[in-house]
Amino acid sequence: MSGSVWVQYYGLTREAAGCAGESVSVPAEGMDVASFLALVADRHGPALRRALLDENDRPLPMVGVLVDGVAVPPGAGERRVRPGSRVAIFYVMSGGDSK
Amino acid sequence: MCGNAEGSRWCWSPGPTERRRREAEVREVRVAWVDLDTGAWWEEHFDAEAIRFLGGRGLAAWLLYRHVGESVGPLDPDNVLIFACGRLTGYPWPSAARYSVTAKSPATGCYGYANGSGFFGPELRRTGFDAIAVRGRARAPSALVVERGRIELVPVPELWGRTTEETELELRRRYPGARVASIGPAGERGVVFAAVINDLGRAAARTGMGAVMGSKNLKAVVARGDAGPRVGEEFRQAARQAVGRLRKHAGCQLLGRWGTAVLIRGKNIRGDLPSKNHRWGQFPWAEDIDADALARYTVATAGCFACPVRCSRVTEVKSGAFQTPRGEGPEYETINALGCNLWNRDLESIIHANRLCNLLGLDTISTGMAISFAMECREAGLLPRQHPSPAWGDPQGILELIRAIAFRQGLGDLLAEGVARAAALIGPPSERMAMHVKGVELPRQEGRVLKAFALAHATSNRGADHLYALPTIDSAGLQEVAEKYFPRFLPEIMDVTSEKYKGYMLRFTEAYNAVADCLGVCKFTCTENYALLPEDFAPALRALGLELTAADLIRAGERVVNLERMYNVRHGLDRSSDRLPERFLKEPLDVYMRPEDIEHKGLDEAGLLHRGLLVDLDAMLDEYYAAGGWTTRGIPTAARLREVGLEDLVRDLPGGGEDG
Repeated sequence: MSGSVWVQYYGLTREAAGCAGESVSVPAEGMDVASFLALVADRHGPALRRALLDENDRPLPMVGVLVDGVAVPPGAGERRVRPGSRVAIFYVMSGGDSK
Repeated sequence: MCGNAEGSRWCWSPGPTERRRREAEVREVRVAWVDLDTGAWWEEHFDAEAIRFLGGRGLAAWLLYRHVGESVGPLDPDNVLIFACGRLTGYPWPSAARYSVTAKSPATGCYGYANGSGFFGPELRRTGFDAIAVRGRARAPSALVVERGRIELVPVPELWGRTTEETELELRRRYPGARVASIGPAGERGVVFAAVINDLGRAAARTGMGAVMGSKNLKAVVARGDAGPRVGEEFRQAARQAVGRLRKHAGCQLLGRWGTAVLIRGKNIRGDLPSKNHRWGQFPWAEDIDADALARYTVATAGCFACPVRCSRVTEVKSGAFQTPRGEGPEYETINALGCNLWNRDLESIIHANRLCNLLGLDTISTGMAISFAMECREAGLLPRQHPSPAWGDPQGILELIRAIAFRQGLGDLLAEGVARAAALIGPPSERMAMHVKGVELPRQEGRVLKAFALAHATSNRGADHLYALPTIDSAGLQEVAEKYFPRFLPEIMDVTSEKYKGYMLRFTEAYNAVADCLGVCKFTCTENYALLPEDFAPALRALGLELTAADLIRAGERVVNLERMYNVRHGLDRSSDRLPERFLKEPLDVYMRPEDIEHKGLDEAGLLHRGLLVDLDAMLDEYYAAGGWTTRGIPTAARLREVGLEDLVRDLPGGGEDG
């Protein structure tokens, strides 16, 4: 039994996904955030995979994730993405540096 | 412990009389004027202007407007060079470390300023002066020693020709406890993009303020204070809340963990990693120069005065051709300018080149862009035979050319004039390779991908610049910020590749960035990621006796932007100066799913993230001017000047009054 999750992309991840948001099916018991990022990466081209995951498929430190409005470090396993969740994925930095 | 004890810098509980005296102190701005011809100095105090322009960049722009007219050349003795603390610089507020250096710029020929960090600005605050304004030209190379109630011009001919590091270490030996801002050989020789360097590698880099300093025979400014500003519990409480927010903010945490090199990976994916003089927006070997790669050379982290973020990396190359002792950097802009911009994937050489630029007193952005200009000219066969230039990706050649620029030797002498003048001297075919706006070389964002940055580069009043407006709201996906400030323009305003509504975004971000510079705070705490919003500064300012709401602060930022614009308008600049290099308007940029594919031709659509990106600059300019109450020529209207509190500038509009 599975259910759907609405995922919204912001900034760079929106460009890499090629859409602003989408519905993604997850198992009833849910999944951890890292696995969820791998799942959405598989649905799109290599740009999104590179934006979210390193060469060993671990979440990149610059990726921010909100699950139901709560910030979840992508490497943390305690908060799961479950059917009905709303997920936001974004990059936490842009721009340049100070001169 | 908090009390009235002698020596307690930060903790203090004022009585009512003392509070009034302190409020008057804070509201009053003390500017020390120094005549370098004679060494004489005097003070000028301001009250109303301290409120009108806040401090720092705004105050200095006002002084420049009043004292340096159109007939004064940037390297003339009559140009005024102003070192200014922000309103909060040196106060116990997170990252309140920044100071401005302002003058008529040799790069733009009109308005110029640079912004530096580290510990020099806070030390200047500890002398009791808000700003030091110098004019004239010292008879011999000199250092200006600033202490509380005392300023002395000290001849230091023995330091002329020395690097910034040698100069700083020697002056710190002579004046224990002092902080030093100095120039290197580049500033002495009037290199148009010479920087002012403090704290052994912190640069106030842009618009050639080092060259202005050199033209005045001023080798260094030495600041040695005796007491920092005292604040009460109300201020400390506001500062604690701000620190708490910053420590929890994901962007600040990321900067602290990885430094600014963390930007590289994301930029390479979206096509915002300009490479090979902006012929590409991606770099096939980004992993050789990114945050992970830099971490292999990082031996410590560092932060500026009162900084909870600590984004700076202390690096070292222990052996090999590019052996480099411990030092701060390189930051993202430098890694790009001296790395992928030059098709250079050798990170050790980039670390070495960064240190070399700091020692010689060069702006790393403009230096990198001058070299990439030369490389492209060489490839096109445009350089005279007597001027050999390195090929793309030649690290040794890059280092040699950096030295040649600083010492104005051979091709370096040509490039030391900046790419705009170098292109004019080489001839028209090279002008399309000269990546500059208003004479200042482009910073390291790709405007064809990030349209807000394209507009920011074009309209900045100090020439091509990412920090003047720093429009990150769309590119960082700051949805909540957009909902707060631009609900009318959602969702289109968040599409980075669309020109629509970017003018409105820029009007807000340029004002907020002006506020940050006027207060002397680091943009990594506010305008880069919106960890702190304008209203977060109000309680601290209120505690200092300055009753300013968030709206008042943004209005003050607008006032400063209009003041700077009017300075340029007085010098004849208008819409025709708000231009981008032709490359952005006529050479389409493709962004590839896999950056390693970028030099392969004939890929189908499946291999592309974006195809054929260009900038429609005129559409954005029309919107930007209208949103800011300017004419279609890019000139503030009389009504707008009055609205932002600059009625005294109306008479300076073209035509001598009402809207021209």
